[in-house]
Amino acid sequence: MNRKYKFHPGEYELGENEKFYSDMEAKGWRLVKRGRYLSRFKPVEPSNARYRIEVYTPPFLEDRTLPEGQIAVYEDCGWEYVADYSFLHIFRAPEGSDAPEFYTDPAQQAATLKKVRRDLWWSIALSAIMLGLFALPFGRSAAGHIKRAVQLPTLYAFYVLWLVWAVWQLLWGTWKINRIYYRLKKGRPMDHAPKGNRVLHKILNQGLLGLSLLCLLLTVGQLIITRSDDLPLQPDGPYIVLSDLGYEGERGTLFYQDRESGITHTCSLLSDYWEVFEIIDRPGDHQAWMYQYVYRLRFPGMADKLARALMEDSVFARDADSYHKVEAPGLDEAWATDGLELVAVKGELVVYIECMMDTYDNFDPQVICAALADRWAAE
Amino acid sequence: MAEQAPMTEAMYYILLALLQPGHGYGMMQRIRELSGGRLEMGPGTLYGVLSRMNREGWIVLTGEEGRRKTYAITEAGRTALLAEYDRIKRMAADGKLLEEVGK
Repeated sequence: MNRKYKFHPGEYELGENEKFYSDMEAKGWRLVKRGRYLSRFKPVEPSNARYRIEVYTPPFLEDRTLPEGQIAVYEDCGWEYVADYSFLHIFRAPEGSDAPEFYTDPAQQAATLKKVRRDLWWSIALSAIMLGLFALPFGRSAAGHIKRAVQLPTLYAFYVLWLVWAVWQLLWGTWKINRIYYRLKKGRPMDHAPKGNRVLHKILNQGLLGLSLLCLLLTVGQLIITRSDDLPLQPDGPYIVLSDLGYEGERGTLFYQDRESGITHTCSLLSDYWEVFEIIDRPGDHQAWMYQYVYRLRFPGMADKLARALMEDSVFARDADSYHKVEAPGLDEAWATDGLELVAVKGELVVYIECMMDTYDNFDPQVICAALADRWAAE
Repeated sequence: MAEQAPMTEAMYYILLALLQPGHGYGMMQRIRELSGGRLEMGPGTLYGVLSRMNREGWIVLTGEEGRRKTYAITEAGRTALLAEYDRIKRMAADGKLLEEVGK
């Protein structure tokens, strides 16, 4: 094996990084390159090399490379410039070298951290703004979140875990860099081999990152197994077709959207989900069409909450109060608007229907509920 | 003119070392000699102070050999160094009281 990659301590853990690279060289792995999360090592004879980190934070948009003159002074003193990432510049002194420590005056080293601390607060503010902007498209209310979270729970979990991870990273970084800063300000030199227990941090950090990546993978898996097809004449799932409501006709195209009948099916950790659209041509230049969003929940206890969310987040109705309860034998509960929308629940099944039968006047919630009760009884 | 703020030990010795132009590592060795081995200056401390004094016009870049930069003290730097030397001399003179009280 001629190379090895390892997760390194965070960029604000200066002493921990120095110790990490020294320990790696003692095990026979010398640092070659540092990336965002991983460092690359090459095999060498194990030795007790010292590693030290210089922090360099030039003004915004200026070259981030360490000044050549500074590197030359350090190298003249016996330090070898090994790698850099972001504001970290990593030097190495071989075993037996008498290369002096970078700073004989801790207060001056503290001054090199001032901008890092200030930038960290900017990062926190910027992250808060970015997360706010990111959250905006998720819907106008909690109802939209619930609806989409049931359809794509792993994407939501990824978002939440990643958010928690990002916040944890920033808070941990703030804590670590401030500890170093105030230690140096007090005149105590930098601790190049801090002891402290990092197990909890490691579990939280890598656990959160691992879980969020797993959720992202599961989301990709869900998108891969999602299938869109033509709508069969006879339903092959817990949904109804217009012929169940007594409306027969040739399948057509929605005149204002150029949309044809179709069905999309997906499975998530919380539900099986069918999105169905059907349109037929009717005598007298009329059309009948129906949208259905059908959920078979893995946890039936969520049904009421989801039904409420579907009513709140309706296309036409202003809110859940625009719905009234409908007598629905064979179903647990059903609600309809005076217009085109209906929501029904039976056990783990929940449906939102939006339909038009030739004209607005033909919307009959009782007929739809009866058809649903028949279909779901057969499930 | 406002009185000059006291210099740090690092600034004082770097200016002293630069009475004779020199580059980073050479300065560190010269500072060790000038202080009789008492003062060991780290390269980070040295570079930080050099950058600051360069900005203030107390030293000037006189040459570059590869990545090595050679600096020399300027007139402003010499004046500042003399002012600091006077201040330290006055402080030392005032401190003679300590010897008299000790007797």
